[in-house]
Amino acid sequence: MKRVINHSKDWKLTEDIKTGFTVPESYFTGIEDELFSKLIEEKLPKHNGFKTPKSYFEELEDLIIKKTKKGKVITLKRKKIKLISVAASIALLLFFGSNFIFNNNNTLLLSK
Amino acid sequence: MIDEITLVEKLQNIQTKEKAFRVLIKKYKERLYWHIRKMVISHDDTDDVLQNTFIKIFRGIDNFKQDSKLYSWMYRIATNESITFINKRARERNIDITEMKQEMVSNLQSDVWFSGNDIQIILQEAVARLPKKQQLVFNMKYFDHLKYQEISEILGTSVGGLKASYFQAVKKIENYIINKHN
Repeated sequence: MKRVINHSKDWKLTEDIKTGFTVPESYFTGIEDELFSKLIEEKLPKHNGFKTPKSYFEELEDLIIKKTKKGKVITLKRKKIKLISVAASIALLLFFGSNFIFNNNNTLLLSK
Repeated sequence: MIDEITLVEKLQNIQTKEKAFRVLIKKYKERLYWHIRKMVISHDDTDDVLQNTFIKIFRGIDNFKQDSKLYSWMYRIATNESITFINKRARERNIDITEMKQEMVSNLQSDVWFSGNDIQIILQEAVARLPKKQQLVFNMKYFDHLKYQEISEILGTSVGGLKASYFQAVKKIENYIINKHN
């Protein structure tokens, strides 16, 4: 006879009441898949061939800490672009606005 | 070695956050790097995604409730960042995600940070063709040697379901390799 017992927060065990032996609760679930997978695994290459530049990992902490202080560089760039586009719109508005007023004044003067 | 609960407490305290974050990066940088690398393939792209992942962790740690393990929460962020990256690239190129992944693998032969042989390239091609979930399970189990219980916590899938996914994945990979050789 089997019963499920709570071993810890993360583990549940299935216990054979007669013998007292236990196995993880999900041990027998999908064990066939697991065994067939192992047979195929033996034929596959063990490594993926990826490598990294020398000292890449050593420099990583400082680089990331620096970035957390800066905020996103992209955000700053975007802010700059936004500022430039707003300034450009104002300049265009002023230019065409003054032209319009100037032309209207001239028309008024001519009609007088 | 500092335990996880203490580390999270220090990360959530403004006075100790930076020092604790250094400890966190040191502890997980390689694991997260290799997890991302297997998804986005190139070193430079992995570097970008890894840095964004850590920035997200830094900004989100205050809201981390310890109802899941810290590493599974971080793996989930790394996974989502990698998927977002691939989706964005695919959108920019106007191709679908599977095509995008195959293109990433096809660049391996000229990649200076790849020293694999033909069979390792074929393996990557086969992995790139797998559905997203099978690809994740295969990489985490075969290359990262994570236990099914740990993968279950990260992906929120039952151990039985993961074993079936893994079997499907290795079977497809085996077939792909056999077909390539014939």
